[in-house]
Amino acid sequence: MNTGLEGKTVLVVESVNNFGRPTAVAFAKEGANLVLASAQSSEDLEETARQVSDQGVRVITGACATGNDSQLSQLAQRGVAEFGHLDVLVNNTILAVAPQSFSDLTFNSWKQKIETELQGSFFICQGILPLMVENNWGRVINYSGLAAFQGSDAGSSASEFGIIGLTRGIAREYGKHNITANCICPGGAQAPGESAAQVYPPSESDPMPRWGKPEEIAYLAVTIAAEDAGYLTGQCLMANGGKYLL
Amino acid sequence: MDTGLKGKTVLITGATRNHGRASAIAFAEEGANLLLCTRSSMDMLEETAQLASKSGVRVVTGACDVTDETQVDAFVQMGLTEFGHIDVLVNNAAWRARGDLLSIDEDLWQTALGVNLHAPFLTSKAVLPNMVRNNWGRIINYSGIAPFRGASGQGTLKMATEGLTRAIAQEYGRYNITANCIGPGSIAVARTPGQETGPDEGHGPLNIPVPRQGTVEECSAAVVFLASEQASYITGQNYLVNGGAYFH
Repeated sequence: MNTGLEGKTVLVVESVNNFGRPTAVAFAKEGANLVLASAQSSEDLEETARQVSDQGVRVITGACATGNDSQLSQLAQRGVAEFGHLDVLVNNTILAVAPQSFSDLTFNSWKQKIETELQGSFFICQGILPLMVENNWGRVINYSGLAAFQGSDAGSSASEFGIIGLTRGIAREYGKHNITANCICPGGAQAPGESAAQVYPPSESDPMPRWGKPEEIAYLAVTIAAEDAGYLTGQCLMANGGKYLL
Repeated sequence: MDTGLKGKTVLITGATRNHGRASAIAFAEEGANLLLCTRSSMDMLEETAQLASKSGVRVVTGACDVTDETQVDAFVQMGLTEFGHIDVLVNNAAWRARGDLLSIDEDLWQTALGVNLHAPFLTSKAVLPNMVRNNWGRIINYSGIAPFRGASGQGTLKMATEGLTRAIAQEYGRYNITANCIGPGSIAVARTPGQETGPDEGHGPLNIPVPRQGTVEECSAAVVFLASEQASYITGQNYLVNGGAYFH
């Protein structure tokens, strides 16, 4: 399949944690150049960069605190200076916290989750979208998850559902610029290095009673970004082995 | 229909006018006592209280900034002292993050985030221990049409509220506490200056199955139903009152 992604520039917001690294590599395999951000150690970030470079594409990296829109905007500008355009935003802004019961969840912990993920994503999109409008083409890929639908811990549920709302808003507003916005909603796929507290283990009653693989999530991002996915917008792509049916 | 609400205590935030006032009156007609608050419009809140009191129920009012943890806790404590129990929470207070993605600045975002999302978090936290003790409760939050039509600011915050609602529904169902959203469509209301209805929201005849704007009474009827004894198996849902503008 020709995804039309060769020569495009893809910004991966967190390219070490969650599904960031396999996603960055999946885009590199399609010939896209990468702008990689991470709040993690420069060593981890450079490891992602090395794996991307191995695919023969160009890459720049920058340290960005999770949810920090101004740092990401600066990095995106560097990407435009380097590659001439920015085409795909993989907004993998996630603050992993152990799920808590509502009665134990303090206002401060709740605020930290909401302000990092939801508010962070809002202003990250606000900073990046004008760069896509310039080229009259773009793809915004956000991440939500099972918590949004199943209602697990309050911070995750609110943040993840809010991100779906943001995605729909961008889809409505930017469709006229050939910019699509969609959400990937993993559930039961274990990201490399992820603690067991964040995931949904397979159950005998699941349609697919096994763990999902990181590549099965990364593949979706490439699919949504492809040229031929241009009419797919405002949607949630659920990759959860059938745990929840939309 | 006996809704079973007689003698219950209903807390309604932002009950100064529109949806909040209509809900206050509707609950009073069911015989529920009311605990009403506003951030700053005490005159209008007293008018609501007066209208609701005509049904012969007890109404207690107070000023409360629902985005402030200390004030919320104090207000709920005051309500519990007055009534002994709070059975229904209606998170009606709202501030719209109007406008397109690029037009929403940090100030507007913070205000709308506080009123639409932090407030239901804080009020729910404050009332739930009492509801658990009574093994009965209803929490009703406001979503809207924005999550379905797509609106960057308002849709983000309203959907986040729905997520919070689902989490509460999941955790507290075992205590006979339900949490639901009501999702009004285009409803004829008075707006605060700066929050006016934009041209995108449609005036007059609307191109929807029920081709008109709805009324706040049509919404408060749904709120009362969700709070009723009969709605005890409905939880984690978003009841859309939108004239068929979106089929969920």
